[in-house]
Amino acid sequence: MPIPKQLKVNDPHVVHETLDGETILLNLRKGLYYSMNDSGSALWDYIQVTGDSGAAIALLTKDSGAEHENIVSSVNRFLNELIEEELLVAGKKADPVSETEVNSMTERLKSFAGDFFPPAMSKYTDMQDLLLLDPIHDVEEEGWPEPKEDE
Amino acid sequence: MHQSVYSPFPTPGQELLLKAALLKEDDAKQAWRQWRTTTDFERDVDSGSQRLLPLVFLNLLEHRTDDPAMLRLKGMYRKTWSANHFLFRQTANILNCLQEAGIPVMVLKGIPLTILYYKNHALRPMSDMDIMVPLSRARDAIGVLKNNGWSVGNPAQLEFFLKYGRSTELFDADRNELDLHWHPVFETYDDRATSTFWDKAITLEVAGVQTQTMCPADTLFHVIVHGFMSNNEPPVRWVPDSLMIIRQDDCPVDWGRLTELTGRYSVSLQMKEGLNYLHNTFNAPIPGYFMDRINKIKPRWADRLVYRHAIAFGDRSAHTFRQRVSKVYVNYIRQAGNKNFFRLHLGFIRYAYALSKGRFLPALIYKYFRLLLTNR
Repeated sequence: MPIPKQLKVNDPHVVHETLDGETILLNLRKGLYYSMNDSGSALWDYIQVTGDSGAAIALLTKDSGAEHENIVSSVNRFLNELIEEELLVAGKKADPVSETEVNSMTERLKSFAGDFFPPAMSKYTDMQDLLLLDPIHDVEEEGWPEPKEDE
Repeated sequence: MHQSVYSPFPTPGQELLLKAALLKEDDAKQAWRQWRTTTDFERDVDSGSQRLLPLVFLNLLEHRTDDPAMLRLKGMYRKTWSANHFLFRQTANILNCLQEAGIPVMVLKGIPLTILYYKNHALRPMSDMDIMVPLSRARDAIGVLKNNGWSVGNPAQLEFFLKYGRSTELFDADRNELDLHWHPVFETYDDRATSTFWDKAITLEVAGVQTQTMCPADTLFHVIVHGFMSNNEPPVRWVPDSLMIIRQDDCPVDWGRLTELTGRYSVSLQMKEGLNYLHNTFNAPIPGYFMDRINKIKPRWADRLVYRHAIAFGDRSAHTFRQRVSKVYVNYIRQAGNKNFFRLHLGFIRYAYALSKGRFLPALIYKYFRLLLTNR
């Protein structure tokens, strides 16, 4: 599926936060939780600030040589997944964005260009159960929402 | 002073965790290290402490603390962030229903604290939503909520709560809990008393819905008074809640207003001891003139009784008959206002009668007076 040139977060149904290199998201309408790896998080933050999918791909593929096609295809796959999950929708972001914020997101995304690894996202569908977990005793070492194997 | 594990004041372990959450740099790190060496993370974290962990996580992250437990603290942060977003969205739907029915609404406690003072959905765990309507519209509000899938938790006591209480619990089919208030605390018993909170209310947006909440001084009043009463949860969160309000520059506390509320609702001991603790332990910026005024308010015997009960009980549930009577009596005293000794106790008989619906009154009176005489 072709990626729309302009993308925006599916407000108000989707909320997101990036902390310590990890982006977490909720689709409040569907009751789903998502977590992204580092490169997915950098790509998400760039898109949610600029909305420009083409520029994101250009930043990641600059000087990529033989890896160019692989990068384009994995980024497209990731963006398609975000659209299918209704986390991103076609359209222009309404609120103005500061230059500092754009620069910061650009630098972060560029840092993945040299040593690219595919953006990925984990999806958690059983929120009712996950929210009942004791976040100290019922979870793996990496913390909520990863339930202990024997739970 | 803060010995009792049930007291509203933090236990030594809770205080270390509070310092890890609320102090800066080495003070926070040192408190965290000390807490880790004295606490078994797997076994000894009470529910009050657990609620502090997201705040601890963010503070330690900002101060670059390395600890394997940080992963699980981050999990607590993620969980709180998620649960609160769902809760706020559900609250917004309820606010819409009530406001469309023409009922004035105010949100209390965790939701406004999160939006206005913590400014982060992940930092303040909460288990329910607290909404206040005027007493005159409480029955209408319950009707609207019932039509939207909620049911009153204790219908047999609803009439008593409407006459003497401050709120009722409602539950939906998924056992989500809503506390519907008509008074913020027991002390603001009559409707005229509560109207002052509506007069000073400020606007707030919850998940896209415009509503109201108490002004900063009233919220601080509410947090402290609520913290100093018997509570099902360890009440330690009044400490970070209060500090978040006091430290917020863009929503400053009107200390004159807080003085007025403190005197009017006879809670000078709670204010004095609570704010002194915040100042002495966390260097909370509380104006000296405010403390001077609060210190000059002379508590009545009933105020001292209510305060002593809060210190003795904290989050301890009333199990024995004596404890239950004591709790009922203190709850009554809190909302009885400035009556003389005789009128106060006449009122208590009416209160106890309404509470027991007449079924257990003779036994209650007998046991109450026996206790009173035994104490003396």
